[in-house]
Amino acid sequence: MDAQTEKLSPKEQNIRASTPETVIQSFQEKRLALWRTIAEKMKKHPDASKFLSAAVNATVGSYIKLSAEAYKGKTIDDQKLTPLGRIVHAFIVATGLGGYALGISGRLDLAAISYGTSWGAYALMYGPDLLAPTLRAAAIKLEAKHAKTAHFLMAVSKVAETPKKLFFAS
Amino acid sequence: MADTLSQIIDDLITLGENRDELEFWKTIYPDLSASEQKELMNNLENELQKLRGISKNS
Repeated sequence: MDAQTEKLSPKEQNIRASTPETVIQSFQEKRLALWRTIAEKMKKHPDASKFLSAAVNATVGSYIKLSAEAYKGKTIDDQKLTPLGRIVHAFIVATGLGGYALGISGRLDLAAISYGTSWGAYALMYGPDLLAPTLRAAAIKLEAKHAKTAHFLMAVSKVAETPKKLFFAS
Repeated sequence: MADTLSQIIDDLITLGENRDELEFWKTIYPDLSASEQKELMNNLENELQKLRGISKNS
């Protein structure tokens, strides 16, 4: 540590050691943790869970032909997500949206299972076509009785409508 | 509070924060519980303070 830095208070030394990038990343991580808590509360809400499940299953039929091969090497963990992408991904994980797709078809072959667990990944990668209308459908059902939860879902659906390039860091 | 939040977010974006993510938080802020709103505001205010400190020292 140089002589000049030694004269500073610990707080000032800490500021000097930080870069804008590390500070931003640190506070984004804290916000993501807050968001996970909020999203998990949504999952515990019985009506939200029911309507999300129904909305997901309504879309499964259209995509049931997707096979496990389609997701080979394309797991979300392999992708580098932007802060907005992490918010959407955390929402899918915390609310368990991926798991809702498993029950509808009754199929237990590899394709169906992979589809179910990859629904979240697929929804993120192709958000405008899949995740956004799913969330909107659930939000509309919830609006009358649970306006706040409906607003959350609408807010996430608007994010999901944006081009998927905003979710993935280049 | 809405004006304060907007101003803080604008200042953070000027200092390099991610616009898309912060705009999302601005959208859902009214629907957060009081404790969630407080936690978010503390997060944003502390970050702004830190980034301003770095900017002043550089």
